Amino acid sequence: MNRSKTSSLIFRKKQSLLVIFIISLIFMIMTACATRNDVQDIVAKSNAALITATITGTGSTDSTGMPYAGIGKDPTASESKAWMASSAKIDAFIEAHPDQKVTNNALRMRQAILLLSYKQYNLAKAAFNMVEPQHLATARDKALYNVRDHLVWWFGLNKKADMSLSEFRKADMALNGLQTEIDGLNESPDIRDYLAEMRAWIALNAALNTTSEAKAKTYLEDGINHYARIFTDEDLKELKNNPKPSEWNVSMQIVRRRLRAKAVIKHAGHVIETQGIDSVFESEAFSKLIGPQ
Amino acid sequence: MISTEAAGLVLSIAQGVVKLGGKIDRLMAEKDAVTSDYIIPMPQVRRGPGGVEKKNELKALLQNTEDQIPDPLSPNRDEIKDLLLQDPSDPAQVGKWYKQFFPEKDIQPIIEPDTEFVKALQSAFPSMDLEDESTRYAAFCISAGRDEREIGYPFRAAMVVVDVLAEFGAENTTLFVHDDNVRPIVQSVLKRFSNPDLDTFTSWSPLLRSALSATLNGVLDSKESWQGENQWVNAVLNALATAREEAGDDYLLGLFQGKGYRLLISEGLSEAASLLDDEDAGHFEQIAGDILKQAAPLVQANQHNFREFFQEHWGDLFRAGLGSLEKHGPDILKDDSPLLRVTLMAMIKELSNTPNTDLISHETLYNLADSAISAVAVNPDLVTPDVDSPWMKTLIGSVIKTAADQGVRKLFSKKSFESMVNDSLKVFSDHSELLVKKPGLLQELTGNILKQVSAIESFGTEAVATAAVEGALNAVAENPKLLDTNYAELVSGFAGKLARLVADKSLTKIQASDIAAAGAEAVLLNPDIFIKYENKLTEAVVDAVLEAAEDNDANLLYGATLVDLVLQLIDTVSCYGLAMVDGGPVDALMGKLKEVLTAGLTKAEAELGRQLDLPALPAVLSGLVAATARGELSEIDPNDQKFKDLFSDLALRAVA
Repeated sequence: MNRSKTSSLIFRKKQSLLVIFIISLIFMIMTACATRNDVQDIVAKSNAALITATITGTGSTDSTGMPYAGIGKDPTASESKAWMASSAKIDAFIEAHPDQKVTNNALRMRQAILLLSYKQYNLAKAAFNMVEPQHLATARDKALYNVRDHLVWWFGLNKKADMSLSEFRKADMALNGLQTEIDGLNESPDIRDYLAEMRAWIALNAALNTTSEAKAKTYLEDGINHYARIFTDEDLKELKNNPKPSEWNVSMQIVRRRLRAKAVIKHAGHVIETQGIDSVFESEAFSKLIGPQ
Repeated sequence: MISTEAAGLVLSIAQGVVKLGGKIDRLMAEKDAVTSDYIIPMPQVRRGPGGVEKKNELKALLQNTEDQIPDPLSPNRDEIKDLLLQDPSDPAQVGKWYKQFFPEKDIQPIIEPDTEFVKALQSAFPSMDLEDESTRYAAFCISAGRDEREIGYPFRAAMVVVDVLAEFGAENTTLFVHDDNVRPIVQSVLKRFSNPDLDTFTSWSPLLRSALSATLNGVLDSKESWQGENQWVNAVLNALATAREEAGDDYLLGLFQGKGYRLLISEGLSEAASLLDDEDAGHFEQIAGDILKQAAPLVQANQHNFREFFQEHWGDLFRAGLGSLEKHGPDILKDDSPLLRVTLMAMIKELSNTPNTDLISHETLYNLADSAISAVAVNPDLVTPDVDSPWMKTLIGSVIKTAADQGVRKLFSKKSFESMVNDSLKVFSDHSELLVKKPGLLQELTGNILKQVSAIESFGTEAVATAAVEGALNAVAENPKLLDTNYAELVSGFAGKLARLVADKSLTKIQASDIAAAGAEAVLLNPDIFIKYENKLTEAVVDAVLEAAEDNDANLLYGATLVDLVLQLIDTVSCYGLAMVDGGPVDALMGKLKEVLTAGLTKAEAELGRQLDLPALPAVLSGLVAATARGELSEIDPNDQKFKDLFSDLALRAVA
């Protein structure tokens, strides 16, 4: 009888413990997701807004017949709503979690890029200014932070207008600043390729705008020579000899590097033609690809 | 019903689980924010005509319309012409005119690099569905790249678990550790281990430091549990605990970073401990605590190994020890000789205030000697407890005060100071009555002379000072009346002059020493005249001889001849000085002496080897001076017959 009573008590004790443990586990699950969910939501929505800014509807054109791209136009009302909502969410998260420095600074960088993409240059600059660089963790974020002034300038430059002499000075600073970062990014090819391409475009734009043949040649050769260095021998061989990219058996990141080069190469040819310059490049492949127009 | 203990345990578990959830949530949120991809648009660029092309077209326009009437470029022709002459021309200005005159060509097509990429992608991979958001995302996303922190998220997640478990363990140590002695130690270590958020560490070094620090500090927190009977061990522990209270927890870790620190606190302190007896454990603890406290910020800031740390900071540690000794020294030395205590404490104080870089230098030795002497000078009775004679006590006190006032460095060298004092003491021991009459004499004499001479930094000036002191003391011993005059001042002024001549290389130190001794004792020849003219007669003699020697091209006056001449002239001046000054200014004496000496030297040049040799020259010249003083020479001219006769007569007597 006594043994039976004791067994019953032990059973009830274990039951009680189990119940409490299960309740605490439920609590854990509830608490374990709150912050992460917020961040995931911010990342997803800001990326959606960024891709809208990058290209809205493949192949669509605007009223002038030019391919439509958000970057070249003022954002529409719905686009504005998207970036404003994302940016506000980032602000709210940072305000609610002031002690999460690494998280907050990563989000602040994301916010700056979002604002930059939607032509909010002053807000982007303010967001960059709020970043505490010592809490940035990744090569991408650090590099973008280091070239923030050049990014704001290049995104904000009116490309339809001719560059003034002061813009040329900024271009020179951007070319130097970007190259410094690019040189240290070999282990982070995505951001390296992006910054290298941006540098090439800046150099080509300067080469096209300048009224000096000598300077045009310098900008062009500097831009292409540095850009060509991010390409592997395999990249150059495929770019030069293989007209069928579908046969490339490589990652999307490599495909992107090779395919994006085509627009740069084409524009370099245009610069040579319109500026009447005779350029020789370090890379034999690029010399051949750009070629006489 | 469950027991209170069991309920507490369950609540503790629940608390830990909830904490674990919160921490993992934060960590995963950070991971998502940091490592998620971006999509960054590539800004557009323009195509259209280039700057060079625009400039060339404008140039052609200028040329082609040069003679047109009316001028289509009026009134801007000159402005455009000037613009195009520049290289490079401002592209914005060129563009403005180009747009005005060639609007049909000024088309600015825009290139969208991202759109071009999409086109290329579609062309290369026709089957790729770029309407699909995830496909476009994959095409454009830019990954976070290398995370430059050493510790990845998987390990940091594990650290979250360890952190929570440590906290749980600290709160429930009784469950795991039954030994009453060990439990407090485990509890302290776990408590400290759980204090920082381990998941916030992003590199190995701080994490390992934190773990080690938690262990060391935890052990020290519970030192009562494992302190034994060995009072030296207890003293070291207490010193460490005291140092840690001021310096913070990182201090202990710093000490243990490397072999050197271990040596510092284990072997070094143990060795020190073995040299002291048990009764000094308390003092040792205090001193060790002070040293460790001083070392704390240095240890924390140190990035190097112990060898470099020690090279950089041994002086700081040494001075910390000395500073502490200064504080606790009186207690430690309370049973020792008061003299030893006073001098040691003074030297310790001096050393503890000496900058590291100066610790090993002769300067420090001087300063140490000074501090010891100064300490004794304040209370000279400490040095002479067994000296019965009051005058000897006074004498020793006087010597010490002189040394203290001047400083050992100004005594040129320890050896010369010793010899000077020894010589002085010898004189005083023969004439102790001097000190009875004027106890501060030695101090006055040596002090004044040293002050004059030490202002001139030159090798050999100490010999002048020694000779002057010795000569002066002999003079005072011979004629105690000098004690009532300003004799000490006169001698010191003369010694200073000679020292300057040595420094200028006008005299050698041997010559100057001889002259100093003779000058000091010359007073005895005619005290009234020398005191009256404040020793300027002696100075006039020296000046006249030196100037005459310098003007003499044959260089007859040098070495012993020069000194001998000075000594003989001092004798002469003591006899005939008043007559030579003749109521006029004493400065005129020097001119007169020089005139006679120069004339005598001119004559001597012709007579050397005929009726005169060098050793006889001083006697002849001083004879000429004496004759002049007596008025026997009206014309001081080496060609004058009377001068020639007197010279021959003096030479004859000197050589004989």
